[in-house]
Amino acid sequence: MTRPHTSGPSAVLVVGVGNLARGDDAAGLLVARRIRLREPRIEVVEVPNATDCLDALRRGERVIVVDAMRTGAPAGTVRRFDLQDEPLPASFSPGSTHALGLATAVELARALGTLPRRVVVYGIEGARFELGAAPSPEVLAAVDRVAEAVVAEWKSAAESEKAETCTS
Amino acid sequence: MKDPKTRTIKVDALARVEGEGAMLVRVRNGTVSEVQLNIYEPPRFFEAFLRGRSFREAPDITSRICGICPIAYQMSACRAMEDALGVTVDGQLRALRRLIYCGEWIESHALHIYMLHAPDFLGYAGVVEMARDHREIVERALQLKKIGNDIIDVVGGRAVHPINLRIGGFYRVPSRAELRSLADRLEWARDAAHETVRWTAGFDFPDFESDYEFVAMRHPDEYPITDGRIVSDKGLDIAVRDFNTEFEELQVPHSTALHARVRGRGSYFCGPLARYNLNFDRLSPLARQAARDAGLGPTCRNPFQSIVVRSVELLYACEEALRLIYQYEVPDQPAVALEPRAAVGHGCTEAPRGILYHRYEVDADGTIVSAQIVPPTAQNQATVEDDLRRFVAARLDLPTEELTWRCEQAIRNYDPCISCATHFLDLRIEREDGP
Amino acid sequence: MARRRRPKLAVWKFSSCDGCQLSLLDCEDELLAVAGEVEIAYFLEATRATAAGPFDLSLVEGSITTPHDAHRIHHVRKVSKRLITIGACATAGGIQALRNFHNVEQFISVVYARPDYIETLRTSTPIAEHVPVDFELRGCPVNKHQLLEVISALLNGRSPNTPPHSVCMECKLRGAACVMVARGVPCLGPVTQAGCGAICPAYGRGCYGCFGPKETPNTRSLAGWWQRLDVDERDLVRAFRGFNAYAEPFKRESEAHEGP
Repeated sequence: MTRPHTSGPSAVLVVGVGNLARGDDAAGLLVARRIRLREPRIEVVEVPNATDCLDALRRGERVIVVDAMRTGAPAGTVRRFDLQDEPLPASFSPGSTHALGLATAVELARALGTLPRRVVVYGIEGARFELGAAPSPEVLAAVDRVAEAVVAEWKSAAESEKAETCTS
Repeated sequence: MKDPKTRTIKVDALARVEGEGAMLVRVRNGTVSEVQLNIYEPPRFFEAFLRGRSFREAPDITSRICGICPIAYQMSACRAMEDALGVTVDGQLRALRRLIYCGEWIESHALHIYMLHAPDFLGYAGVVEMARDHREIVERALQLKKIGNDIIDVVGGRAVHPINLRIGGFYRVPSRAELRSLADRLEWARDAAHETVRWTAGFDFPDFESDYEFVAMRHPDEYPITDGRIVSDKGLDIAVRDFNTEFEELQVPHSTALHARVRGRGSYFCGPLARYNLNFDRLSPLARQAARDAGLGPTCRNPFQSIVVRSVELLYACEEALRLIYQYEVPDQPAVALEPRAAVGHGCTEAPRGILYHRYEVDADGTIVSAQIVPPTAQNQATVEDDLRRFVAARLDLPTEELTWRCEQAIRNYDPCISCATHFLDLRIEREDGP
Repeated sequence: MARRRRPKLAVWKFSSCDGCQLSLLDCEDELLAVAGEVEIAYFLEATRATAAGPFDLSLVEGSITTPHDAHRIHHVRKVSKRLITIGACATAGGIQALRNFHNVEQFISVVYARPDYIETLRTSTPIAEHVPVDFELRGCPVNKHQLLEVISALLNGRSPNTPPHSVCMECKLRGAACVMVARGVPCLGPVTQAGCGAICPAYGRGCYGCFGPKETPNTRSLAGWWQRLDVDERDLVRAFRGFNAYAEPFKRESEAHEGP
């Protein structure tokens, strides 16, 4: 069975944050599962909230976190933050069901010296979070887009790794 | 007529409280006219989700209500269904349940004490700022949280959304060796918890007390976690099944959550302070001594000192977990056999934040006909509102920004698990008396 | 560079129906395209394999049901550089489940050329319980494209790139007995995407589908198995209407059992 790559330049850890039972709050988990389905060489974990994200952040050199956010943007809006270029903006935090904790978790990891070299955060804007609700169609569509984007990012990193190996 | 000046300060999210909620304080002419704690949870969706399901599904479904205290939900659901079916779970199965619940207390209390609450007392904006100066303290918290999670992992199959609990017991019981593998780290945790009591005892606490009615469970022999009667310090002493005869839920206009009240009296207060006050004599000798050394008497009525009380409970939970592990013998069966029947069942357990009550009606083939779930945060909401009204009234002279910050801190005293009862929090203070 | 010798591929049949073998036969032309010239030898259960080895890759289908088989599989392992099992019988010893059928005889006569096998089915065991296995390809029958990928990968010395399987694969990886087969516990594992490590079956409870449907799940077939385990329509609806109820395959299956 294909195993995830856990070392080398193409080793990336995808952390899906969310709650399956609360509608669009499942977005992070659904992206994680879609990625696992599409590309089993990517290591994927699921956590219910940002505090549990801390453990996951300790495990990788490159980590991609995916979470639902609630900033008032239209449902299904996707935003990507590369924490190498910018800190997680304050506006990501207030509206999200988890990402206030997520911004804290990231900064805490940084303060503890355990933040991975590269952290990318994908936020998917959710519309409904009630217990028992199904994810909204816009969010499900965004799940597909984000999963594709992550796999594409991984592929190009894997390609450059291969190129390096071939020329050596 | 000219409108009175209003100044609205909006804080988008209540920092560091788990989950979200909303709060409004309205000040008119120098007095607090209104405090509203708005928590959005449409209970009808939840009940609709459970109705028509099999009684056996209740633990797995309810565990996802709260990502932070899934064991509490699973356990209250199990107890309620077992009550309905006339089944008793005792002996080592009961011990295992108490053990996994200790795990939840440990991880929840450690998280709250260190990462949500302590920064307030040390003058830090948050745990991140505190970590920059006190890395080892935060690492200690993470280790404590981890041992709590690991107990849940060993007994429950997984720390996140445990899978091993069911009505009547478990799917699989651990071996002695599996439990023993936790002992070393739990010994460390117990010592770290004791240190936590000493550490929090040194914080500065404002004087603040109310005439609360404290409500907790009480058991003949144990500090209450998984069962007992429901008692208060104002004379209440009832069986769990009488919950609805003594407590009522009222719809308040500003929230879709229901406010809980003692019938004929008023708001009440559940959680660590209530447990402590009503069960001090049931704590372990070490925990009682640690409390005394921390300057606490057998009762504590200051919600600001809840951080110390929580630390005492953290210590107790570590000790109790060790005791349960050392006395463990593998039971013959992982679960008690049971058959569905038409009945109503009631269950109540002490979640980290207070009593969590479940009531179910099931029909003859085990289908859930109705469900009632009363989380501790919803039960405390009226008390938190009352306290905030007084708290703000005594501090109206403060600049709004500082007052906002103090209100947020005050809410953290109650450790509201707002994800049990809400989705979104923002705090607004509206002043109508000028700049 | 030295000319690469033709890789030798062997296919061994133990106790199974003919489904996987047909898949294999389907693959020969494509195999050629992928692996260049490949020498394939087929060994039915009646044949003794002596002079033909060693093999670069052995494909084994079917389960072990007799002492003779148990002896034979050790020989296969010895003469094979790599050994992969293909199909439910080889990977799960799945035919024990036949004892839950109500009209076994009819089923047997349809599937099995030699009905006297039924006696031996009670002791059916997967290959991996007898010898180490390099890779397991599940399915009933196996998916032809996955089979090609696996063969091509192993012959070229790389890891196979197959899409994640159902929870069943994870059960095998962690050595958990199939709860449906061994204990008659209804389980959604066969239609649920792997990813959790098969935690629930490892604890003796049926999977309840947390991770949602796998790719092209055969929910209809699984529902049939559940019905044979005396699960009623209402519980079938509940099973497919958990937290992934909106996922299309689960949604359809739950609706199929809802009644008027």
